[in-house]
Order: sequence, then C-alpha cells, then structure tokens
Amino acid sequence: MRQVFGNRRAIAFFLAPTLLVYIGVVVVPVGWSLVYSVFSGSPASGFTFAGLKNFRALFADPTIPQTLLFTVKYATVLTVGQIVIGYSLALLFKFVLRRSSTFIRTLVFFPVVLPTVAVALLFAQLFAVTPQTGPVDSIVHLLGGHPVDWFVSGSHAFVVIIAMDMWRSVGLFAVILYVGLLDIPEDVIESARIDGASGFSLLRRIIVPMSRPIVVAATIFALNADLKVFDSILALNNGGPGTATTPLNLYMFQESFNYDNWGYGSTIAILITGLSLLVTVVVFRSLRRDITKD
Amino acid sequence: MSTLALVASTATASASSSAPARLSHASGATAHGTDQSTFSVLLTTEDTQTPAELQKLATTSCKTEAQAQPISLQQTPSQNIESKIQLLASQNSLPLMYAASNPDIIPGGSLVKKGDVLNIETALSQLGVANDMTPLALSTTKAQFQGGVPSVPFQMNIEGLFYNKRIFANHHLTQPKTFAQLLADAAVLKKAHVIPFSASGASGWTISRWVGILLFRELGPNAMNLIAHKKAKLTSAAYMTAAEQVAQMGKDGYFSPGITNLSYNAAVAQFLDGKSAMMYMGTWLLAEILSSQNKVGRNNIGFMPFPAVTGGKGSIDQYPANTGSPNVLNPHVYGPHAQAWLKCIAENYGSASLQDQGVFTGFRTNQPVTGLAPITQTIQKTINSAKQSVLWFEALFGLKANDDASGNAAALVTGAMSPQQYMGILQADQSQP
Amino acid sequence: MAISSGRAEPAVSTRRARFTPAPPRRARTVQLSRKTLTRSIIGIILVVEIYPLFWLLTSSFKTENAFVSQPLWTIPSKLDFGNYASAWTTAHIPSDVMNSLIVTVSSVVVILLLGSGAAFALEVLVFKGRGGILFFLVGGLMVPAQLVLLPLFEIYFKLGIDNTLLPMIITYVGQGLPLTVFLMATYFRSVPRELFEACAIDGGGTYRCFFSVALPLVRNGIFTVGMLVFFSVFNDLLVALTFNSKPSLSTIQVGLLNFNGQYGSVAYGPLFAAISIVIFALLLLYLFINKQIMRGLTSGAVKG
Repeated sequence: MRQVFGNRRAIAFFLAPTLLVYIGVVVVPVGWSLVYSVFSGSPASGFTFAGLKNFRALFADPTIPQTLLFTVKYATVLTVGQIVIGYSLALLFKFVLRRSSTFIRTLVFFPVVLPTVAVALLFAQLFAVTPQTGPVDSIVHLLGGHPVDWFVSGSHAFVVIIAMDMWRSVGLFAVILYVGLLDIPEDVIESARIDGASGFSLLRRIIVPMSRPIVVAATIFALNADLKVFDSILALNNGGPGTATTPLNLYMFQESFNYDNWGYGSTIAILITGLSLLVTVVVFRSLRRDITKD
Repeated sequence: MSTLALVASTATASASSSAPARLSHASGATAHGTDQSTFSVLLTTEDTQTPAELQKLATTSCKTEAQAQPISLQQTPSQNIESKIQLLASQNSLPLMYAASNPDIIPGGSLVKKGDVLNIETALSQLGVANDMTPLALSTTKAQFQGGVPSVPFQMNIEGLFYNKRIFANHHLTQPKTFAQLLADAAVLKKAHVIPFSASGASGWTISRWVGILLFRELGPNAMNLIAHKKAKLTSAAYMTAAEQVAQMGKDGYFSPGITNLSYNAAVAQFLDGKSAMMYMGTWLLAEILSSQNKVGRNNIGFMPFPAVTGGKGSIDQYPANTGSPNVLNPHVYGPHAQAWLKCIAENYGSASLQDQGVFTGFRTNQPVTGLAPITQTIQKTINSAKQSVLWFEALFGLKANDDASGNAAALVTGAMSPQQYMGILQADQSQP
Repeated sequence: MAISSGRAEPAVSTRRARFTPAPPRRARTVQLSRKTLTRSIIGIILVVEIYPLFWLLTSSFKTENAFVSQPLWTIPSKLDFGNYASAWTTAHIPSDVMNSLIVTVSSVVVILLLGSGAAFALEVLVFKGRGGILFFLVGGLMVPAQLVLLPLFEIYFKLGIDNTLLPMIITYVGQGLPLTVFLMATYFRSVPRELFEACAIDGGGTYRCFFSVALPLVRNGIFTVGMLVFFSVFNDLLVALTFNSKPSLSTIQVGLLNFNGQYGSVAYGPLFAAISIVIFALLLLYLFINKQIMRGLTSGAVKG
C-alpha cells in the first residue's frame, strides 16, 4: 500500500505541473509586485526606492479605514447570506423538490452566467427613482412610503449592492452545497430515520455535520471572493457616492491603474492579503472546533 | 464609471509643473524616428469618431499616404487605457498614435521625459502646415497642457448652456445675462414643475463643470491655474463660494431628481424629451441634438454662453474650450511616411470631420462644407469668433482629483457631502506630491 | 434579499412534517400548508429569477430613447431587430464568442486536469509536507488578482506571445488552480479512504487508482468545480482587458464595452441585444450538455 500511496514519482507527476504553473503565474508575479510597495513611480516613469513611505501613507490615508470597514461589512453580510440562503436552497432541491429540481436549479443558477455589466444595469434600473420610478420604489410607494433615492448615500447603496451580489451569486453556492448534500450516503440518512430522527433533528444531527467540510470550504471560498469584491460594484455605482461604497480592491485598482500610484496600490494589496489570511484562519479554526465538539 | 468621466472631461493635468524657463526644452520631442510598416493607432473604444474619420481619409484625401503606410487600429476601453499605455511605454513599444492622459504628456510628464511625445506645433511647422491648426486650438491646447502642444486637435469643443426654446417661450423667459437671472429663471421653472437643469450623477463631471464655470466667472480665467500652481487653495473663501452656490442649487431642487446614479444617457434624454429646460454641456451634444433621439426638434434647442456673475472678474464671452481627448504621436516611429500622414491630416481632417460627422476640429476647414444645420452654423460662428477661451474645472487636476471631482459631485448637490468636504477632498488630492 | 431569506425555514419544516408521526387530521392541514408553502416559495423563486430574463429580452428590442424614457416594464410596441443588427457588427459577436469559448474551455480543461491531480496527491497520497503545500496553494485565494498583471505583462511581452490568446489562458490557469485544488481536496476528503485502499489491495498502481477509481468517485465535485471555474473565467473582465491587444482577440466581456460611447453615453439597445445573443447561446449550450451533467449528478446520488 505504501508503494501505491507513497510513490514518489507519482506524487511528482501529479503535483509538479500545478506547482510549476502556480509559482510561475501567481507566486513570482505577486512577490515581484509586492516589492513595488517600497517603491514609488509607474511603469512609464520608472520606479524609485521609497522606503516605508507607502506604508506611512496607508496609515495616514483617511480613505483606508472607511474602505476597510466597508469591505469587512460587505463580506460578512454577503457571506452569511450566500451560505444560509444557498444551503436552504440546496436542502429544498435535495429533500423537497428532489428529482424534479432540475428546472428550478437551472433557473437559480442562471444569474451566475450573466455578465456583470448586465446585472449592474438591471439593479440600477430596479432601484431607480428617475427618469423612471423602478419597481422597488413603486412598491415602497404602494406601501405608503416615500420613494427613496437608493444611491444617494453609502448606507442606501449598501442595500442595493448586497441585493445585487446575493442574486448574482447565491445560485452558485446553492449548487456547490447541493452537490455536497448529494454525496451524503442515502443509507446513513435512512438508518437515522429508522432511529426516529425527525426533520429538524435529522438535519441537525446528520445532514449538517456530514456536509460540514463542503460548508467550510464554501464559506472560505465565499469570504475570500467577497473580501476582494471588485467588478460588480465598479459597474453598479463605481463605489459611490464618493468612496462610501468603495471596497479595498477597487481602491487599490484605482490607485494603481487609474492614478499611476503602483507602489501605493501594492501596499493596499498587502493589506487585502493580510485581511484575507486573517479571516480565513479565524473561520477555519472556529469551524474546525465546531466539528470536534460535535 | 470613473474612467469614463476621465475621458469625458477629455483631459487632466497634474499640479506638478516645471519652471516656465524649462518649458520649451521639455515640451515634447521633435526627433524624426523610423517608420513602422503601418500607421499604428491605439485609441479608446469609446472614441468612435476619430477612427472612422481616419479610415475615411485613408480611402479619400489621404489615399497615397495610406498606401505607403496603411492604418492598423487598436482600441481598448477607457477603463484600462491608462494602464495599457503605461505598460506599453515600459516596454518601449507605444504605437505611432495613442490616447494618453494629461499628467503624462504635459511638460515634465513621464512620457515626455521618455521622449514618447511629439511636439505637434513644431512638427506642423516643419511640414509647412502650421497655419492649418486654428489659433483657438493652439491657445486652448497650450492652456490645457501647461504650455506644451502634445496632442493632435481632432476636436474643438466649447461649452455653454443648451436650452429648450419652447419651454423658455412658454414661461416668458429670455436668455439670462447674469447668474442671478439664471437662478431666477430656474425658480420660475421649478415652480412650474419643469426640471431647470439636467445633469448626471453617474457622469459627475456634468455637475462639477458648474463649479468650474462659476469659478471662472467669479475669479477670472486664471482661477484654476492658481490652484494648479499652488498659489491659491480650493478651500479658501473665494473658491468655496462656487461650491456653495452649486450645493444651494441642489438644495433648491434645480437639478434632475434622483441625480446620484442617473446615467449620462438618461440626463441627455431628459433634456431632449423636453422634460428639463437646460443642460450645461459641450458642443459634442450636437450629435444627439441632430439625431432622432431629439423629441423637441432640432430648431427648438438653443445654445447660449454661461451668464456672467455680477462683479466677477470673468466675462460672459469667455467660453470653456477643449480640443478633445489627447491623441499623441510617438517620435520614435515618426518617419517620412508618418510625416506625410500628419501633413495630410492637417490639410483635410477639419473639413472632412465637419462634413461627415458634424464635429468641429482644431483644424482649418480648407474645403467648403455644405448642408449644416442652423444650430451647427450658430455654434461654428461662435467658435470662430471666440476671442478668449478658459479651461474647465478639472482640466489641470491630477488623475485622482479629477476622479474625485466627478465622483463626489452628486453628493455635493444632494447634500450628502458639504461644500467644505467636497473642496477639502479635492484640495487634499492636489496637495499630494 | 428579504424575499429569499424566507426560504430557509420551509425546507426544514416540510421535512418535519414528513417525519413526525401525527394524528391524521392534523397531518392533512400540515400537508396542505406544506404544499402551499412549497408552491409559494417556488413561485417567488420563479419571479425573482425569470423577471430579469424578461427584462433583458424586452430591453433588447427597445430604442435608445425608450430605454431611458419609458418605465422599465414597458413592452416595445413592435419587434425591432435593428439593435441585433448593430450589436452583431459593433461587438464582433462571432469572433468574440469564439475567443471566449477557446479561452474558457481550454483553461477549464487544463485547470481540472492539473488541479484534480494535485488535490489527489495532497489529500490521498502520503508524503511529508503535504499540509504545507496545500496551505501554500490555498494562499493564492487570498491575493488580489490585480497584483500579477504588471509582471505578467512584461513576461508575456518578453516571450513574444503578447499578440495571442495564450496570455489569457496561462493567467486563468494559474489563478484558477488554488480554488480548484482547495475544493477538489475537500471532495477527495469526503470519499471514504477504504475505497482507495481497496484499489491498492486489488493491485492497482497509483495512476490507475487515480484515473479509474478516484476521478469517477469525485465526478460531482469535478462537475461543480468545472462549472465554477468556467463561469469565473467566462465572466472575467480584468485579465481579458489587460491582455487584450486587438479587436480580433477580444472576448465577449471586452466586446460588451464597445457599446460605451465618449462622454459616458451607452448604447443600451444594442448592448442588451448582444447580451441576449450571448445568454441564449449559452443557454442552448447548457441544455445541450445538461443531460450528461444530470446523469452524472443523479448517478452520484444513487451511488451512495
């Protein structure tokens, strides 16, 4: 057995191509870019050594706390929604609709296929007040409220952004988690039923623990994607008004690519990477502990 | 989208200016390079007019030049034109003609230092066609690029107030001569449930232009140069007034409702549907006015200069002007074939562009142009008679201040941001090294 | 979204209704309300998912003016295919779709091949330092994608491949691997280890155990990850923009930007026509391969 599972040549065969591509396309360029954080300048003007200037600027920049807070708030709310709603949909597919879920599954997945630009335009229209009152404000009006300009402030726009990205991505999580549920052996569920497990206790005692690895994986994936949100907000309202809904990643993009502050952009990227790392480790640890407790 | 706004404001320039004595030295190379096999062009995807007109010239007036060096066109969305130019420049492989942003191509800018920017004024006089660039275009370009002439003037735009003649007649309004009269007119319109001014928050420069024109009217043509050269601050009382006035107009409900995420299209449609009375805009709006999108009728739209501010140092006949988004020539590949192309463009582009697309350029119209709409003729006369031009609010701003000026403009008129905050952010951007 | 959050409970309560033995009379009402609940949930899902599709389609027939000046739910008075004609030419749709498919399909195939192999090595095979290598690879999830662009641009330029589709494919493969390895490792972990051991005892070598035992066992996972990677590559704009050097190499997402005009105007009608063409082409493709995928998925469920 050790010959099969410890076969060094096979290990190299399976692992080497991935590591090679990963190091060449991700690790080396990332390292290269991070070095820019101690430089100032742009590709055209050339780079000059700047020491810790960019890091000092990072701490002095009033936009950073604001974008950091927005990013964390966005990622937390969205991830919780993606996992909770995604998991509920997966349960609906697997236990309620069962074999007939294909059509609904395809439909729920559909927004994932749509170009970001199209989704952003759709939500801008749904939440518009002018030139035409959109459906959301029409409903608000029907319920006796005053039509709201949904883009006028950061807290209003936050609602639209969460609604948009939830709609856009929840189908993806539903399908990932659904496949996780499919992999729970049917006989385990059956024997639990025979033992008298009813719906909710079956869910709590069997289904949730058994699908935990995929839930943990999906959560980590969701968090890392959400912490780096970029194109949907860019297309919806460009992080406005002002920088009220600008996530770190968009801010970094603007600094590097639009304002030619490549060094400062790299410094913000270090902040993003550190944040993702921290959050991943915390989530991983706490969810792991849950597993052992069970 | 920020970068769309960047293109929209056509150009920006950073505050970092070199000493005037060094201007001529550093304002662009004139060295003659080696021709490539093609006339390579890299423009923004959004720019549809220039490529179309160049390609038309290649089959008509500039046929010979195009046979010697055919056009090869690349376009990239404005969202990444800046990074693309940066990356190509770092590999020394910029095309012959490319769209650049102001800070890189003003005297002392990074591309100028690298020798990637041809001095168009010198080049045209070496080709013996210096007279084909109009004086207004030359002076506007020099103002826009802090003394340099790095850009081929494919456009010549002035800005002012477009207004709906029918709405004006219905409410017995006449062209206001002062800003106070304009506000009084707006109050009348507002009372009659007509939106006084269309503007777009998504394209925030349609709002920030108001701050700029008020500054030029109040403080004179030099207002923004003083900021660029750090001789005045946007947060000082004299400059704050303009932001406060625009904020007050917002408070009074004079701009389009729901302005924050209102798109440029929607704002223009509002005006051309007859739902709003006026729109502050550049003459590029002519394309829409003359199209079927205009439900008001092309003869019912008028153009007037932005009124004067009583007691201000500026005057009503100073039009904000620009020569379009910058189009730069690369000296390294500027050989004899490319020179022939530039000469042919200088001689023919002006009349061809006006005839084919109704777009004014910074070139003389050497062939007679026929069949122009009345409003086009009016604006042509205005451009030809304009004695002095001024810039626009963001013209001399750095890239970041330029984005912030339009990004925060909607917040200024909705009250989400105070005038102090608005000007404070821009001043902070400008103060950065 | 307020509408969706209501979905969480019914899935649970319906299960309870089925498994709690209850007196017959109560069961009837429970069953009834269960049915209405399920139906109303499905109704809400249908509205939330189908309405935008409808909006997209109707918008694609609207004129510029109608798009901004008429209420959003207005149906165009006549079917005008002008938008489709101008979309077809403005966005170079045939070549854009071709480029997108070439880039996406080849990236996905390479990513799945390399990624599932690496995940197999890291999760099933036994050697020192595999935890460290997995963490090293997963670290790639945490780095912003923009960081790699400048160095890669220079590398591709020096290699002389900057005027091809290769830079996009290579970059997508590199960026897709961390997620693929991470998720595939999770799927391999959920397979009972005895199955691999049985293969080894049967005398299968490492390669045979991988290709004929491990891969079929995680085909649901491969399908899911493949789909995930497919759409993230297909919908990517950033990488495609950076390495897009000429119109004949542009992908769909880049092509859609061709509808933006100077000064911030957008040609909405043709834009939506282009999106509709792309979406419905994808939908056809999806339905075409749907049977295969569903067979894979359901056989996974039966397999147990």
